[in-house]
Amino acid sequence: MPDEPVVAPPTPARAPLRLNYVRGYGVGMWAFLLQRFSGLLLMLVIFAHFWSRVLVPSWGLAQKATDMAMIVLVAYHAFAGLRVVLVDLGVGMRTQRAIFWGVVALGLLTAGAALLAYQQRFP
Amino acid sequence: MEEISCRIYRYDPEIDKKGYWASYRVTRQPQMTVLDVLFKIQGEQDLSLAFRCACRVGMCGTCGVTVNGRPRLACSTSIDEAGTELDIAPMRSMLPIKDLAVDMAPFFESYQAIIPYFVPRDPDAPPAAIPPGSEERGIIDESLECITCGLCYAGCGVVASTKGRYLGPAALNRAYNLIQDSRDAAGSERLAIIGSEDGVWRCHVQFACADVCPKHINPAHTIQQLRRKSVGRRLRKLFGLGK
Repeated sequence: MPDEPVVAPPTPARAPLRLNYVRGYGVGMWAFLLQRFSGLLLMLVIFAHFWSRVLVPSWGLAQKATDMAMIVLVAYHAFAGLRVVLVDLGVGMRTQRAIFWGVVALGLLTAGAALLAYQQRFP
Repeated sequence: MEEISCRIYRYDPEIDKKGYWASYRVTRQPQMTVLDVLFKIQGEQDLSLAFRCACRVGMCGTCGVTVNGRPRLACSTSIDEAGTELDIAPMRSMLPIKDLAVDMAPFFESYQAIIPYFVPRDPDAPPAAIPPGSEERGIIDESLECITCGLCYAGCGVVASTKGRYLGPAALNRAYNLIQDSRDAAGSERLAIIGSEDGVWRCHVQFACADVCPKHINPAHTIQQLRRKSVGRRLRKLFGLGK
């Protein structure tokens, strides 16, 4: 038996924007975006770090915050860069998803260890 | 019976100034695909809904659409996999002609650009067969199954950001298959094309092409292979060792 047609008047809305496709992004695309954004953020944090040292001579929260942000970003960005090098060499073309999660894990581990050491050195 | 809630991007150039999303509800049936949903809407609710399809079994590559943000073949995407909340839009990087049917000219123009056909070394010689089990055939085995559906082109972030100037994964994959063919005479010409500004060096290895390919081809891998060949060609030219 045919279904009862449910006629819904079309709801005018915007044309498909790039945003409509974001939810379909795979791991590789997120890896690409995260690396770019971590690089950009790193640049900003380095500037902030530099100016916090110049403008605020005394050791304070601003320096500590930028130090810690830099540690986390460098740790992630460096390992993500290693992934890019591997991919450019044709290594892990079939296992890039696992490599990405490995990169995230290594980045987090390294950042965690570095933050711990930093906290002990500058409590 | 469970219902499928569906938003479809609609655009009729004769009526609409711009596209819009329309909502539909369809009763779910066993083993239903996205293409079945589209047929049901077209048959029972809105005869004017336009979309493409032909074989219905994932062989022809005609029914490419974007389902929940991801390029897919409508006939090969089951509702079990896609869910009962569907956003169906035209493929990206190609302009809609009507509703979900897009103008695939940019895709085929980039395909055309790489000389996508076999150019024999000696046109009069009988075709030399490359046995299926041979090493030469093995090199391209994984990348031969392309059905030119355009999903990789639609999924590629670089194609989208360069507004189609980048040749795209399918064209480069085809170029790779022909360049690897020892009987082909246009390899050097193709290497020059794929090594150009809009060729292999544009790829950011986002793996979107490999993620969406319905035939499980990994064009990102073939593009890496082409990059090596392109570097080899440039080095040979630099040292005057042939083309």
